[in-house]
Amino acid sequence: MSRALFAGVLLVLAGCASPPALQPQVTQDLLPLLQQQGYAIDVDTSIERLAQARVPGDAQAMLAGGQGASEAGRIGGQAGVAGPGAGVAGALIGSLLVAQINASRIQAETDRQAADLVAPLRQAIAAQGLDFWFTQTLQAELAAGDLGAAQPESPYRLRFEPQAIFGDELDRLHLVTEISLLFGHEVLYRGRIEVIDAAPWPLDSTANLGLQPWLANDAAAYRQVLHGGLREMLQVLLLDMQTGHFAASNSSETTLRYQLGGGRFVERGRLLAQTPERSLFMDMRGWLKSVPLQAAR
Amino acid sequence: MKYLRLHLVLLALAAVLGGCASKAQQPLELDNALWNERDEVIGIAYVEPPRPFVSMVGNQGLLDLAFNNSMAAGLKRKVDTWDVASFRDVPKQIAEELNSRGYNARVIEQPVLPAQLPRHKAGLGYAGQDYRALKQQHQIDKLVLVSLSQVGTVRSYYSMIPTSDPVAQIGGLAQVIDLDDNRLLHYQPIAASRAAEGEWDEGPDFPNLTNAFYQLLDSTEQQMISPFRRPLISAQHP
Repeated sequence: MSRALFAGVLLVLAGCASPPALQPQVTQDLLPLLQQQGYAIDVDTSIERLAQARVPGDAQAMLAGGQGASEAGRIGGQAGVAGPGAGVAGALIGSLLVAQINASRIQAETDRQAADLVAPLRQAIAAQGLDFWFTQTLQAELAAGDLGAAQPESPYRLRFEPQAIFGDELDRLHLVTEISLLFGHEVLYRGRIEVIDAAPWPLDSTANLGLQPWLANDAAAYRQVLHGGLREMLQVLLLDMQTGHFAASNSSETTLRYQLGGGRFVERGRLLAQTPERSLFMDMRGWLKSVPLQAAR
Repeated sequence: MKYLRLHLVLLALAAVLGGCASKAQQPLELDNALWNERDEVIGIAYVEPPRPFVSMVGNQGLLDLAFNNSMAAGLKRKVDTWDVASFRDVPKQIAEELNSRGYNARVIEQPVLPAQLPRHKAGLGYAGQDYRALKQQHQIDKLVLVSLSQVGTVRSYYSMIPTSDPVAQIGGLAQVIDLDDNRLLHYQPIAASRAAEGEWDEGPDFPNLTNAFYQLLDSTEQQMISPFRRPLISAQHP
Protein backbone atom coordinates (compact mmCIF):
# COMPACT_ATOMS: atom_id res chain seq x y z
CA MET A 1 0.00 0.00 0.00
CA SER A 2 2.80 2.40 0.94
CA ARG A 3 4.67 1.47 -2.29
CA ALA A 4 1.58 2.21 -4.39
CA LEU A 5 1.10 5.54 -2.64
CA PHE A 6 4.75 6.39 -3.11
CA ALA A 7 4.59 5.53 -6.81
CA GLY A 8 1.45 7.62 -7.18
CA VAL A 9 3.05 10.64 -5.57
CA LEU A 10 6.08 10.26 -7.85
CA LEU A 11 3.83 10.23 -10.92
CA VAL A 12 1.96 13.33 -9.76
CA LEU A 13 5.18 15.20 -9.06
CA ALA A 14 6.63 14.12 -12.42
CA GLY A 15 3.61 15.68 -14.05
CA CYS A 16 4.67 19.03 -12.64
CA ALA A 17 7.75 19.04 -14.93
CA SER A 18 8.05 21.97 -17.38
CA PRO A 19 7.50 21.52 -21.17
CA PRO A 20 10.52 20.60 -23.36
CA ALA A 21 12.66 23.43 -24.80
CA LEU A 22 12.31 24.48 -28.46
CA GLN A 23 14.46 22.40 -30.82
CA PRO A 24 15.75 24.44 -33.81
CA GLN A 25 14.79 23.06 -37.19
CA VAL A 26 15.38 24.36 -40.70
CA THR A 27 14.62 23.12 -44.21
CA GLN A 28 16.96 24.12 -47.06
CA ASP A 29 16.25 26.90 -49.61
CA LEU A 30 13.58 28.65 -47.58
CA LEU A 31 14.27 32.18 -48.79
CA PRO A 32 13.69 31.49 -52.52
CA LEU A 33 10.60 29.50 -51.58
CA LEU A 34 9.08 32.34 -49.57
CA GLN A 35 10.05 34.94 -52.16
CA GLN A 36 8.28 32.96 -54.86
CA GLN A 37 5.30 31.62 -52.94
CA GLY A 38 4.77 34.44 -50.47
CA TYR A 39 3.86 33.98 -46.81
CA ALA A 40 1.15 34.89 -44.32
CA ILE A 41 2.10 36.20 -40.92
CA ASP A 42 0.90 35.45 -37.39
CA VAL A 43 2.10 37.42 -34.38
CA ASP A 44 1.25 36.07 -30.94
CA THR A 45 1.91 38.87 -28.52
CA SER A 46 0.37 40.67 -25.56
CA ILE A 47 1.21 43.46 -23.13
CA GLU A 48 2.37 40.90 -20.55
CA ARG A 49 4.69 39.22 -23.03
CA LEU A 50 6.16 42.56 -24.15
CA ALA A 51 7.05 43.71 -20.62
CA GLN A 52 8.64 41.06 -18.44
CA ALA A 53 11.54 40.99 -16.00
CA ARG A 54 14.15 38.41 -15.08
CA VAL A 55 15.00 37.95 -11.41
CA PRO A 56 17.63 35.33 -10.46
CA GLY A 57 16.61 32.40 -8.25
CA ASP A 58 18.04 32.00 -4.79
CA ALA A 59 20.48 29.07 -4.92
CA GLN A 60 21.22 29.21 -1.20
CA ALA A 61 17.52 29.05 -0.29
CA MET A 62 17.06 26.13 -2.66
CA LEU A 63 19.91 24.17 -1.10
CA ALA A 64 18.85 25.08 2.43
CA GLY A 65 15.31 23.95 1.70
CA GLY A 66 16.56 20.70 0.23
CA GLN A 67 18.81 19.98 3.19
CA GLY A 68 16.00 20.86 5.55
CA ALA A 69 13.72 18.41 3.76
CA SER A 70 16.44 15.78 3.96
CA GLU A 71 16.76 16.34 7.71
CA ALA A 72 12.97 16.26 8.17
CA GLY A 73 12.88 12.95 6.36
CA ARG A 74 15.59 11.54 8.59
CA ILE A 75 13.81 12.59 11.79
CA GLY A 76 10.44 11.40 10.47
CA GLY A 77 11.92 8.02 9.56
CA GLN A 78 13.32 7.61 13.05
CA ALA A 79 9.99 8.55 14.64
CA GLY A 80 7.90 6.14 12.46
CA VAL A 81 5.28 4.44 14.65
CA ALA A 82 3.83 1.89 12.22
CA GLY A 83 7.03 -0.11 11.84
CA PRO A 84 10.24 0.55 9.89
CA GLY A 85 8.77 0.01 6.35
CA ALA A 86 5.82 2.37 6.61
CA GLY A 87 7.85 4.91 8.59
CA VAL A 88 10.56 5.10 5.91
CA ALA A 89 8.00 5.29 3.06
CA GLY A 90 6.16 8.08 4.85
CA ALA A 91 9.39 9.95 5.50
CA LEU A 92 10.44 9.62 1.85
CA ILE A 93 7.09 10.83 0.54
CA GLY A 94 7.10 13.66 3.04
CA SER A 95 10.61 14.80 2.12
CA LEU A 96 9.81 14.63 -1.60
CA LEU A 97 6.68 16.73 -1.16
CA VAL A 98 8.49 19.24 1.04
CA ALA A 99 11.28 19.60 -1.52
CA GLN A 100 8.78 20.16 -4.34
CA ILE A 101 6.78 22.66 -2.29
CA ASN A 102 9.97 24.49 -1.39
CA ALA A 103 11.09 24.73 -5.01
CA SER A 104 7.63 25.94 -6.06
CA ARG A 105 7.61 28.53 -3.28
CA ILE A 106 10.98 29.92 -4.34
CA GLN A 107 9.87 30.04 -7.99
CA ALA A 108 6.58 31.76 -7.08
CA GLU A 109 8.42 34.38 -5.06
CA THR A 110 10.82 35.00 -7.94
CA ASP A 111 7.90 35.38 -10.38
CA ARG A 112 6.11 37.77 -8.05
CA GLN A 113 9.21 39.97 -7.72
CA ALA A 114 9.57 40.05 -11.50
CA ALA A 115 5.93 41.04 -12.05
CA ASP A 116 6.13 43.79 -9.42
CA LEU A 117 9.24 45.19 -11.08
CA VAL A 118 7.56 45.87 -14.43
CA ALA A 119 4.00 46.64 -13.32
CA PRO A 120 4.26 50.42 -14.03
CA LEU A 121 5.60 49.80 -17.55
CA ARG A 122 2.81 47.34 -18.34
CA GLN A 123 0.25 49.96 -17.37
CA ALA A 124 1.93 52.59 -19.56
CA ILE A 125 2.23 50.45 -22.69
CA ALA A 126 -1.25 48.97 -22.29
CA ALA A 127 -2.65 52.49 -22.64
CA GLN A 128 -0.68 52.91 -25.89
CA GLY A 129 -1.64 49.58 -27.46
CA LEU A 130 1.99 48.58 -27.79
CA ASP A 131 1.13 45.00 -28.75
CA PHE A 132 -0.73 46.29 -31.83
CA TRP A 133 2.15 48.66 -32.62
CA PHE A 134 4.61 45.75 -32.45
CA THR A 135 2.62 43.67 -34.92
CA GLN A 136 2.30 46.61 -37.36
CA THR A 137 6.00 47.40 -37.10
CA LEU A 138 6.98 43.79 -37.66
CA GLN A 139 4.87 43.61 -40.81
CA ALA A 140 6.33 46.88 -42.10
CA GLU A 141 9.92 45.75 -41.50
CA LEU A 142 9.28 42.42 -43.24
CA ALA A 143 7.71 44.20 -46.20
CA ALA A 144 10.77 46.46 -46.53
CA GLY A 145 13.17 43.47 -46.49
CA ASP A 146 14.10 40.58 -48.78
CA LEU A 147 10.93 38.59 -48.11
CA GLY A 148 8.55 41.32 -49.25
CA ALA A 149 5.10 42.05 -47.87
CA ALA A 150 3.00 39.32 -46.28
CA GLN A 151 0.19 37.77 -48.34
CA PRO A 152 -2.68 36.60 -46.14
CA GLU A 153 -3.83 33.95 -48.64
CA SER A 154 -0.45 32.16 -48.78
CA PRO A 155 -0.35 28.57 -47.42
CA TYR A 156 3.05 29.30 -45.85
CA ARG A 157 2.51 30.77 -42.38
CA LEU A 158 5.33 32.59 -40.63
CA ARG A 159 4.53 32.72 -36.92
CA PHE A 160 6.25 35.00 -34.41
CA GLU A 161 5.99 34.65 -30.61
CA PRO A 162 7.95 37.57 -29.13
CA GLN A 163 8.73 38.34 -25.51
CA ALA A 164 10.56 41.42 -24.21
CA ILE A 165 12.35 40.82 -20.91
CA PHE A 166 14.32 43.27 -18.79
CA GLY A 167 17.53 42.22 -17.09
CA ASP A 168 17.40 42.38 -13.28
CA GLU A 169 19.15 45.79 -13.19
CA LEU A 170 16.69 47.19 -15.80
CA ASP A 171 19.70 48.36 -17.81
CA ARG A 172 19.13 46.11 -20.80
CA LEU A 173 16.30 44.56 -22.78
CA HIS A 174 16.14 41.05 -24.23
CA LEU A 175 13.81 40.53 -27.18
CA VAL A 176 13.29 36.76 -27.34
CA THR A 177 11.31 35.57 -30.36
CA GLU A 178 10.32 32.01 -31.23
CA ILE A 179 9.68 31.74 -34.95
CA SER A 180 8.15 28.95 -36.95
CA LEU A 181 7.31 28.52 -40.62
CA LEU A 182 4.48 26.12 -41.30
CA PHE A 183 3.06 24.65 -44.47
CA GLY A 184 -0.15 23.12 -43.20
CA HIS A 185 1.03 20.95 -40.32
CA GLU A 186 4.53 20.54 -41.71
CA VAL A 187 7.19 22.55 -39.89
CA LEU A 188 9.69 24.01 -42.37
CA TYR A 189 11.53 26.20 -39.91
CA ARG A 190 11.66 26.55 -36.12
CA GLY A 191 14.06 28.82 -34.30
CA ARG A 192 14.59 31.03 -31.29
CA ILE A 193 16.38 34.35 -31.65
CA GLU A 194 17.35 36.55 -28.72
CA VAL A 195 18.46 40.13 -29.32
CA ILE A 196 19.95 41.97 -26.37
CA ASP A 197 20.29 45.74 -26.24
CA ALA A 198 21.63 48.01 -23.54
CA ALA A 199 19.61 51.00 -22.36
CA PRO A 200 20.16 53.97 -24.70
CA TRP A 201 21.34 56.33 -21.92
CA PRO A 202 24.82 56.49 -20.32
CA LEU A 203 24.85 54.12 -17.39
CA ASP A 204 25.94 55.25 -13.94
CA SER A 205 27.41 52.27 -12.10
CA THR A 206 26.85 54.02 -8.76
CA ALA A 207 23.08 54.28 -9.09
CA ASN A 208 20.24 52.03 -10.18
CA LEU A 209 17.95 54.28 -12.23
CA GLY A 210 15.11 51.81 -12.20
CA LEU A 211 12.18 51.87 -14.57
CA GLN A 212 11.75 55.66 -14.76
CA PRO A 213 13.95 56.36 -17.82
CA TRP A 214 12.06 53.67 -19.76
CA LEU A 215 8.72 55.28 -18.87
CA ALA A 216 9.64 58.87 -19.80
CA ASN A 217 7.92 60.52 -22.80
CA ASP A 218 5.25 57.83 -23.15
CA ALA A 219 7.84 55.01 -22.99
CA ALA A 220 9.71 56.44 -26.01
CA ALA A 221 13.04 54.84 -25.04
CA TYR A 222 11.37 51.47 -24.54
CA ARG A 223 9.71 51.65 -27.97
CA GLN A 224 13.02 52.73 -29.59
CA VAL A 225 14.97 49.81 -28.14
CA LEU A 226 12.18 47.37 -28.99
CA HIS A 227 12.14 48.59 -32.59
CA GLY A 228 15.91 48.17 -32.90
CA GLY A 229 15.65 44.67 -31.47
CA LEU A 230 12.92 43.76 -33.93
CA ARG A 231 15.05 44.88 -36.92
CA GLU A 232 18.04 42.90 -35.68
CA MET A 233 15.86 39.82 -35.05
CA LEU A 234 14.64 39.87 -38.65
CA GLN A 235 18.20 40.21 -39.99
CA VAL A 236 19.31 37.21 -37.93
CA LEU A 237 16.27 35.25 -39.10
CA LEU A 238 17.14 35.84 -42.76
CA LEU A 239 20.75 34.86 -42.11
CA ASP A 240 19.64 31.70 -40.31
CA MET A 241 17.40 30.69 -43.22
CA GLN A 242 20.05 31.53 -45.83
CA THR A 243 22.78 29.50 -44.10
CA GLY A 244 20.66 26.52 -43.09
CA HIS A 245 21.10 27.31 -39.39
CA PHE A 246 24.80 28.10 -39.92
CA ALA A 247 25.49 24.54 -41.03
CA ALA A 248 28.87 25.50 -42.53
CA SER A 249 30.16 27.16 -39.37
CA ASN A 250 33.10 25.28 -37.78
CA SER A 251 33.53 27.35 -34.61
CA SER A 252 33.80 25.29 -31.42
CA GLU A 253 32.03 25.68 -28.09
CA THR A 254 33.74 28.20 -25.87
CA THR A 255 33.03 30.51 -22.93
CA LEU A 256 31.70 33.80 -24.26
CA ARG A 257 32.08 36.88 -22.10
CA TYR A 258 30.51 40.20 -22.96
CA GLN A 259 29.96 43.49 -21.23
CA LEU A 260 26.54 45.09 -21.39
CA GLY A 261 25.83 48.31 -19.57
CA GLY A 262 27.06 47.84 -16.03
CA GLY A 263 26.98 44.06 -16.20
CA ARG A 264 29.30 41.31 -17.31
CA PHE A 265 27.79 38.22 -18.91
CA VAL A 266 29.14 34.76 -19.38
CA GLU A 267 27.75 31.79 -21.25
CA ARG A 268 28.83 28.83 -23.32
CA GLY A 269 28.26 28.95 -27.03
CA ARG A 270 29.72 29.10 -30.56
CA LEU A 271 30.64 32.47 -32.06
CA LEU A 272 29.09 32.66 -35.53
CA ALA A 273 29.50 36.19 -36.82
CA GLN A 274 30.78 39.55 -35.75
CA THR A 275 30.28 43.09 -37.05
CA PRO A 276 31.74 46.29 -35.58
CA GLU A 277 28.52 46.75 -33.63
CA ARG A 278 27.32 43.26 -32.68
CA SER A 279 28.27 39.64 -32.13
CA LEU A 280 26.09 36.69 -33.08
CA PHE A 281 26.47 33.35 -31.37
CA MET A 282 24.67 30.04 -30.97
CA ASP A 283 24.09 28.76 -27.43
CA MET A 284 24.16 25.16 -26.27
CA ARG A 285 20.59 24.55 -27.39
CA GLY A 286 21.16 25.87 -30.88
CA TRP A 287 19.34 29.14 -30.09
CA LEU A 288 20.73 32.30 -31.63
CA LYS A 289 21.76 35.33 -29.64
CA SER A 290 22.79 38.78 -30.87
CA VAL A 291 24.58 41.08 -28.42
CA PRO A 292 26.01 44.58 -28.84
CA LEU A 293 29.80 44.68 -28.86
CA GLN A 294 31.43 46.25 -25.84
CA ALA A 295 34.77 45.44 -24.23
CA ALA A 296 34.62 41.73 -23.43
CA ARG A 297 37.51 39.97 -21.78
CA MET B 1 32.79 9.29 45.17
CA LYS B 2 35.53 7.67 43.14
CA TYR B 3 33.38 7.89 40.00
CA LEU B 4 32.43 11.49 40.74
CA ARG B 5 36.10 12.46 40.81
CA LEU B 6 36.69 10.58 37.56
CA HIS B 7 33.83 12.40 35.91
CA LEU B 8 35.07 15.76 37.13
CA VAL B 9 38.55 15.04 35.80
CA LEU B 10 37.17 14.01 32.42
CA LEU B 11 34.99 17.12 32.33
CA ALA B 12 37.96 19.36 33.08
CA LEU B 13 40.05 17.62 30.43
CA ALA B 14 37.30 18.11 27.82
CA ALA B 15 37.06 21.81 28.70
CA VAL B 16 40.82 22.29 28.33
CA LEU B 17 41.01 20.41 25.05
CA GLY B 18 38.01 22.31 23.70
CA GLY B 19 39.77 25.55 24.46
CA CYS B 20 42.81 24.34 22.56
CA ALA B 21 40.81 23.73 19.37
CA SER B 22 42.26 25.65 16.41
CA LYS B 23 40.31 28.63 15.10
CA ALA B 24 39.80 29.25 11.43
CA GLN B 25 41.63 32.13 9.73
CA GLN B 26 39.20 35.01 9.26
CA PRO B 27 39.11 36.96 5.98
CA LEU B 28 41.64 39.80 5.77
CA GLU B 29 41.26 42.91 3.64
CA LEU B 30 44.23 43.69 1.42
CA ASP B 31 46.90 45.21 3.64
CA ASN B 32 48.42 48.59 2.72
CA ALA B 33 51.83 46.97 2.92
CA LEU B 34 51.26 45.69 -0.61
CA TRP B 35 50.47 49.17 -1.97
CA ASN B 36 53.08 51.10 0.01
CA GLU B 37 56.14 49.01 -0.82
CA ARG B 38 56.35 49.83 -4.51
CA ASP B 39 59.94 48.73 -4.96
CA GLU B 40 59.18 45.12 -4.06
CA VAL B 41 58.56 42.40 -6.60
CA ILE B 42 55.15 40.70 -6.46
CA GLY B 43 54.89 37.15 -7.74
CA ILE B 44 51.46 35.86 -8.75
CA ALA B 45 50.77 32.15 -8.84
CA TYR B 46 47.96 29.64 -8.89
CA VAL B 47 47.34 26.18 -7.49
CA GLU B 48 46.29 23.63 -10.10
CA PRO B 49 42.47 23.56 -9.93
CA PRO B 50 40.65 20.28 -9.30
CA ARG B 51 38.47 18.66 -11.92
CA PRO B 52 34.77 19.51 -11.56
CA PHE B 53 32.76 16.83 -9.80
CA VAL B 54 29.17 16.05 -8.74
CA SER B 55 28.70 16.25 -4.97
CA MET B 56 25.81 14.54 -3.18
CA VAL B 57 25.04 15.65 0.37
CA GLY B 58 22.46 14.51 2.89
CA ASN B 59 21.47 11.30 4.68
CA GLN B 60 22.49 8.44 2.41
CA GLY B 61 23.55 4.88 3.07
CA LEU B 62 25.92 2.91 0.88
CA LEU B 63 23.09 1.49 -1.24
CA ASP B 64 21.56 4.96 -1.53
CA LEU B 65 24.89 6.38 -2.68
CA ALA B 66 25.27 3.67 -5.31
CA PHE B 67 21.73 4.27 -6.58
CA ASN B 68 22.09 8.05 -6.59
CA ASN B 69 25.41 7.85 -8.41
CA SER B 70 23.79 5.67 -11.02
CA MET B 71 20.87 8.09 -11.46
CA ALA B 72 23.26 11.01 -11.78
CA ALA B 73 25.38 9.33 -14.47
CA GLY B 74 24.17 11.66 -17.22
CA LEU B 75 24.98 14.77 -15.21
CA LYS B 76 28.37 13.31 -14.24
CA ARG B 77 29.23 12.76 -17.89
CA LYS B 78 28.48 16.41 -18.62
CA VAL B 79 30.26 17.76 -15.53
CA ASP B 80 33.34 15.78 -16.57
CA THR B 81 33.50 17.94 -19.71
CA TRP B 82 33.40 21.23 -17.78
CA ASP B 83 36.64 23.08 -18.09
CA VAL B 84 38.25 25.42 -15.56
CA ALA B 85 41.21 26.33 -17.78
CA SER B 86 40.24 30.02 -17.62
CA PHE B 87 41.27 30.00 -13.95
CA ARG B 88 44.92 29.61 -15.02
CA ASP B 89 44.69 33.09 -16.60
CA VAL B 90 43.78 34.79 -13.31
CA PRO B 91 47.44 35.40 -12.30
CA LYS B 92 48.07 37.03 -15.66
CA GLN B 93 45.06 39.32 -15.23
CA ILE B 94 46.15 40.27 -11.69
CA ALA B 95 49.66 40.99 -12.97
CA GLU B 96 48.26 43.25 -15.71
CA GLU B 97 46.25 45.20 -13.14
CA LEU B 98 49.24 45.63 -10.82
CA ASN B 99 51.65 46.55 -13.60
CA SER B 100 49.20 49.13 -14.97
CA ARG B 101 49.29 50.77 -11.54
CA GLY B 102 53.08 50.97 -11.56
CA TYR B 103 53.91 47.90 -9.47
CA ASN B 104 56.48 45.30 -10.38
CA ALA B 105 54.43 42.14 -10.77
CA ARG B 106 55.32 38.92 -12.53
CA VAL B 107 53.49 35.67 -13.15
CA ILE B 108 54.91 32.39 -11.88
CA GLU B 109 54.13 30.07 -14.76
CA GLN B 110 54.24 26.73 -12.96
CA PRO B 111 51.47 26.01 -10.45
CA VAL B 112 52.45 26.08 -6.79
CA LEU B 113 52.10 22.81 -4.87
CA PRO B 114 51.16 23.73 -1.28
CA ALA B 115 51.01 20.05 -0.22
CA GLN B 116 54.74 19.76 -0.90
CA LEU B 117 55.60 22.75 1.28
CA PRO B 118 56.23 22.41 5.03
CA ARG B 119 53.49 23.46 7.45
CA HIS B 120 53.93 26.81 9.15
CA LYS B 121 52.61 26.70 12.70
CA ALA B 122 52.76 30.39 13.57
CA GLY B 123 48.97 30.56 13.96
CA LEU B 124 46.40 33.10 12.84
CA GLY B 125 47.61 35.87 10.56
CA TYR B 126 50.18 33.62 8.89
CA ALA B 127 49.90 31.31 5.91
CA GLY B 128 49.26 27.66 6.76
CA GLN B 129 52.13 26.48 4.54
CA ASP B 130 55.62 27.95 4.59
CA TYR B 131 56.06 29.83 1.29
CA ARG B 132 59.26 31.63 2.26
CA ALA B 133 61.41 29.41 0.03
CA LEU B 134 59.67 30.92 -3.00
CA LYS B 135 61.32 34.26 -2.27
CA GLN B 136 64.74 32.95 -3.26
CA GLN B 137 63.42 30.52 -5.87
CA HIS B 138 61.55 33.15 -7.90
CA GLN B 139 63.27 36.36 -6.72
CA ILE B 140 60.04 37.83 -5.40
CA ASP B 141 59.15 39.62 -2.18
CA LYS B 142 55.44 39.01 -1.97
CA LEU B 143 53.26 36.20 -3.28
CA VAL B 144 49.69 36.45 -4.56
CA LEU B 145 48.29 32.91 -4.58
CA VAL B 146 44.89 31.91 -5.96
CA SER B 147 43.34 28.47 -5.67
CA LEU B 148 40.07 26.60 -6.16
CA SER B 149 38.85 23.77 -3.94
CA GLN B 150 35.32 22.48 -4.56
CA VAL B 151 34.31 22.81 -8.20
CA GLY B 152 31.19 21.32 -9.77
CA THR B 153 27.64 20.75 -8.57
CA VAL B 154 26.00 19.91 -5.25
CA ARG B 155 22.63 18.32 -4.62
CA SER B 156 20.98 17.26 -1.36
CA TYR B 157 19.35 13.87 -0.83
CA TYR B 158 17.36 11.96 1.70
CA SER B 159 18.12 8.31 1.05
CA MET B 160 17.43 7.80 -2.67
CA ILE B 161 15.24 10.88 -2.97
CA PRO B 162 16.76 14.14 -4.20
CA THR B 163 15.51 16.97 -2.00
CA SER B 164 16.89 19.82 -4.11
CA ASP B 165 17.89 20.54 -7.68
CA PRO B 166 21.63 20.43 -8.35
CA VAL B 167 23.29 23.83 -8.16
CA ALA B 168 26.72 24.87 -9.37
CA GLN B 169 29.23 25.39 -6.58
CA ILE B 170 32.77 26.75 -6.32
CA GLY B 171 35.08 27.14 -3.34
CA GLY B 172 38.28 29.12 -3.61
CA LEU B 173 40.90 31.15 -1.80
CA ALA B 174 42.93 34.22 -2.69
CA GLN B 175 45.93 35.06 -0.46
CA VAL B 176 48.72 37.59 -0.42
CA ILE B 177 51.75 36.49 1.59
CA ASP B 178 54.74 38.52 2.70
CA LEU B 179 57.64 36.19 1.96
CA ASP B 180 59.89 37.77 4.62
CA ASP B 181 57.91 36.25 7.46
CA ASN B 182 55.04 34.30 5.79
CA ARG B 183 52.54 36.81 7.15
CA LEU B 184 49.16 37.09 5.46
CA LEU B 185 48.49 40.46 3.84
CA HIS B 186 45.20 39.32 2.33
CA TYR B 187 43.00 36.31 2.91
CA GLN B 188 39.80 35.96 0.94
CA PRO B 189 37.97 32.62 1.11
CA ILE B 190 35.18 32.19 -1.46
CA ALA B 191 32.24 29.80 -1.23
CA ALA B 192 29.55 30.39 -3.83
CA SER B 193 26.72 28.56 -5.48
CA ARG B 194 24.40 29.34 -8.36
CA ALA B 195 21.17 27.76 -9.50
CA ALA B 196 20.35 27.15 -13.14
CA GLU B 197 18.11 29.81 -14.69
CA GLY B 198 15.13 27.81 -15.82
CA GLU B 199 14.98 24.04 -16.08
CA TRP B 200 18.19 22.24 -15.07
CA ASP B 201 17.35 18.69 -16.13
CA GLU B 202 17.91 18.84 -19.89
CA GLY B 203 20.33 16.05 -20.64
CA PRO B 204 22.70 15.29 -22.19
CA ASP B 205 24.02 18.88 -22.32
CA PHE B 206 22.28 20.46 -19.29
CA PRO B 207 22.66 23.91 -20.88
CA ASN B 208 21.19 26.00 -18.05
CA LEU B 209 23.25 24.29 -15.35
CA THR B 210 26.36 24.49 -17.53
CA ASN B 211 25.86 28.21 -18.02
CA ALA B 212 25.32 28.65 -14.27
CA PHE B 213 28.64 26.91 -13.62
CA TYR B 214 30.62 29.05 -16.06
CA GLN B 215 28.96 32.20 -14.77
CA LEU B 216 29.92 31.19 -11.24
CA LEU B 217 33.47 30.44 -12.32
CA ASP B 218 33.75 33.83 -13.99
CA SER B 219 32.35 35.69 -10.98
CA THR B 220 34.76 33.82 -8.68
CA GLU B 221 37.67 34.79 -10.90
CA GLN B 222 36.52 38.42 -10.94
CA GLN B 223 36.18 38.36 -7.16
CA MET B 224 39.82 37.30 -6.88
CA ILE B 225 41.01 39.96 -9.34
CA SER B 226 38.93 42.91 -8.11
CA PRO B 227 40.99 43.80 -4.98
CA PHE B 228 43.91 44.54 -7.30
CA ARG B 229 41.99 46.75 -9.73
CA ARG B 230 42.34 50.48 -9.79
CA PRO B 231 39.32 51.78 -7.81
CA LEU B 232 36.60 53.53 -9.86
CA ILE B 233 36.06 57.23 -9.22
CA SER B 234 32.44 57.58 -8.10
CA ALA B 235 30.17 60.34 -9.43
CA GLN B 236 30.60 63.69 -7.71
CA HIS B 237 27.36 65.19 -6.51
CA PRO B 238 27.16 69.00 -6.66
